Amino acid sequence: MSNNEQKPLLITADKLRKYYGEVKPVNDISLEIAQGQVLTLVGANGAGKTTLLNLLTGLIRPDRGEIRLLGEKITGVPPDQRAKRGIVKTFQLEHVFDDMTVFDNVRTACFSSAGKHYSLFKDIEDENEINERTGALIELFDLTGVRDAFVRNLGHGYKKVIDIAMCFAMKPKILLVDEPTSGVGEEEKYKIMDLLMNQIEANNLAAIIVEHDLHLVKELSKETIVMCDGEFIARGTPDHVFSQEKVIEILVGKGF
Amino acid sequence: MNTALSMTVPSVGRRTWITTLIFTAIVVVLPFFISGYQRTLLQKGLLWIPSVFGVYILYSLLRQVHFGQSIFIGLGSYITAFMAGKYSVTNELMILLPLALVVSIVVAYVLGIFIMKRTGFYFAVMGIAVTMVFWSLVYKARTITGGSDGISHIKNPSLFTVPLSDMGLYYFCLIVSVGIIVLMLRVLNSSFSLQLRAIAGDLEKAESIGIPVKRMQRLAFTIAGANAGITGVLLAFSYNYVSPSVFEWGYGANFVQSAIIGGVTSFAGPVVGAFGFINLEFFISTWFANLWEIIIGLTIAIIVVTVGEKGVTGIVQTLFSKIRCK
Amino acid sequence: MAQTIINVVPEGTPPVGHIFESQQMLSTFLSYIFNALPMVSYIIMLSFSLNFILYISGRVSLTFAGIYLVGAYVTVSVGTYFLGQNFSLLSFIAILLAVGLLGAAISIVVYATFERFLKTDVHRMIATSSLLMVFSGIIKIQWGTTPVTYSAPFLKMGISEVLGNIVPNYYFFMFGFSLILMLALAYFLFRTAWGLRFRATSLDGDRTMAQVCGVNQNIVTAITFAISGMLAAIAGGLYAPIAGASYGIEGNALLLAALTIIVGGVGSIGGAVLTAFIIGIARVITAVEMPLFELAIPFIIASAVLVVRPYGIWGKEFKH
Repeated sequence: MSNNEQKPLLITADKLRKYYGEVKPVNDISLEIAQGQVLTLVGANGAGKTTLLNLLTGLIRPDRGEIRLLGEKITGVPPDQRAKRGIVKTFQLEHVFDDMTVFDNVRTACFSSAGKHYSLFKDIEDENEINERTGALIELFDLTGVRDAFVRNLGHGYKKVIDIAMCFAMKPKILLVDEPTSGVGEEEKYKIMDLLMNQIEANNLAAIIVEHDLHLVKELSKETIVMCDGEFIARGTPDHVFSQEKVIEILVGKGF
Repeated sequence: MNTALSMTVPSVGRRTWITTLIFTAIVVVLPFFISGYQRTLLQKGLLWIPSVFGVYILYSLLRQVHFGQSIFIGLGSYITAFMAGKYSVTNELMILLPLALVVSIVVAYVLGIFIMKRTGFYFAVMGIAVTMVFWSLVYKARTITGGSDGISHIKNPSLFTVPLSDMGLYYFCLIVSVGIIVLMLRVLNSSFSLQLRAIAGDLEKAESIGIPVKRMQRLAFTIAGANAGITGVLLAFSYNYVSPSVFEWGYGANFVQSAIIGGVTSFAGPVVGAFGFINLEFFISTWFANLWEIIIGLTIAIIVVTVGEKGVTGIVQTLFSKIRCK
Repeated sequence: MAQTIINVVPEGTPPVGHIFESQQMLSTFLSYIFNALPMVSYIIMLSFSLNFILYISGRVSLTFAGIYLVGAYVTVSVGTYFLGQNFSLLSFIAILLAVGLLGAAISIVVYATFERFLKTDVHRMIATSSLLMVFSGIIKIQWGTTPVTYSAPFLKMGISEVLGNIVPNYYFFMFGFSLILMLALAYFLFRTAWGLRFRATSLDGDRTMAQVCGVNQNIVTAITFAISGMLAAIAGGLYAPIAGASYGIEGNALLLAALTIIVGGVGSIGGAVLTAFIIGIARVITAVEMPLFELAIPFIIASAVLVVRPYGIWGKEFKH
């Protein structure tokens, strides 16, 4: 926690709450994340991890509580504007634009990041700045080989990488990563994770990474949070957290 | 909506511009070789193109079916009928066109707030609903709109106070229509349409990379409406007559049908579709007047079942690529 | 589209607008409800005709409006031909049921030969809206564009006085008939083994899972279309004695059915009935007070609901 005092706070969530009837996926959670701080979030299915991320991106509205980005209240701000301000999320399942080429996928994100939503009459090929940036991102994420391929013809691993590349095109301040390795083979898993962590480090981003693979979690982060029934039940270094009895009980006992 | 649809929008290349140029040259020269009646048909076709382009944009980029083009055509037409017919305020095109443009943009934007709230089936039926509401209002407000009798005796238009002859009106329509085609080709190749395609592809992802989904959808709807509003004015001048039938939902559906005939996988689609539909209408209603609805309905239904939204241009494209492969 | 806007307020309705006494107010209000009954039953059946296919098979089909048109015209013709001015309740009901069977048959045939091959919702909307043109074209050839009427059932059933209001008995008959149909449908869906299969394949259920469990998707969808066609045709038949049949009424049917789904939500029988009451009564009131806005009012209600609750008042969020 000593990091927090040195670095400026990026996101603060204060007593967030979201109930769906009897189900309480997020129950009065408070969270502070500093710039450059990488957290991993673990917990059984239905513990409320995805709901928490969705609250932060604005996809769903909290029943109570507030969220601040760099001290500014953003609780009621819609998701697209939050994305522009730097809270960007990658998806657990495939979310890419199937009918477009890889280049166009990334280019769309670049246009959006540059705020060029309403430039109606300018040819996209003439937007040199954007195209250069897209090219650089394609190279950075090692997609040059499939640059002009249609995304629907590509494999799952590629789609994950494209998703991540689009998130980086948004120039994020904090990256919310929802199970980056689900449904990906063992080999690709490490490749994607390496790519992701390198980029997070290189850009000094803050990140919350939801991950099921505890070995990966141990390697990835200095700090991990265990979530259960809408509450944080443990927080600290992975080694410390995973040695606690109640954590083992929850993660292993519930068929993790 | 459905990932089975593997439809891609081509980019505007040099060939498209050359085609546009050839098309313009043909319609400029054609009136000298055809009869006056054929010219009015040609003029109608030219005026349909912008409206069909509106449907085309919503279909090819957003995958939405826009049944409501008749709203804006009706608005433009009735504005003209009031200003140049019933109340004889002005018949100056340079006043009426901007007026119709502003009115249809405002109406489209406000309607878009409600209609674009949900997409797919709901958007389509709300489009139908709005046209019917306008229809019933115009139909019943007999004292103002003339009810089912409509408004006739619209004065001939004038451009910069110079009265236009029939031929003059034809060339004015041509300029407007080609101008809108050029603008639309630019729009289709802009970052705007790239992002619309992203919205159609995956709405959640589009939102998560900062695209203001609702606003952009509404803007697309507004562009479609503005196109139709402008042509409404010129259509009213072409016929010298306006009746509530311009607000019928079937009339709005005709533009969707034109777009389907033309196909939405090629930029030539709206042009081919508009002329195709109008010629079909002309020939069928000359030879089998009673069967018009049955034939056009079945034609569209069969086109949709067999080639989907590819239409005539799609078939031609496939044929060409097959020939080239051999 | 020569569309008849039907004034469902018969002669003898007390004049409205300058009544201050509370008893008369109540009586006026009741008269609105009674006069809305035909419109309500019309909306219930039509909207559920559309809703049922949308909910059970996840398909959009606008064909029901064409079947409604056929139902109305066939009832008028058959009624005039066989019964003329002689009227008996049983034979009228028999005609209605026959028309219902005809509607079911048309619906199944159109589904099996045509709609089955449409792959996406967008295609379905465009193709079925074009089919509506075919239906109205056939009607135009057979019956022409002048409205036809068959009002014997409406006139011969007489009137009764309820709480100071004179109401044609036919209104009660129509409402009762549609209500019985809807109750039968609800019983079928929620109390029988076959109904369970339907619900299993619906948007609430899981189609793939249902298929694995041995539900024959094709039969379920075919029956769904049959029921939808039956409801639409009977709606046409029931409404014809009041409004007659005229060229272009399918647009109105389409509009009201679709707006009811927007307000009520997909797949809720109760929602459809309540919405039908809201829209029906609102329409009758505006028809008397502000005739100009009679068709606009359902649209205004639907727009308001779209803004406040995009998935309908009683609806759930489905992705189809």
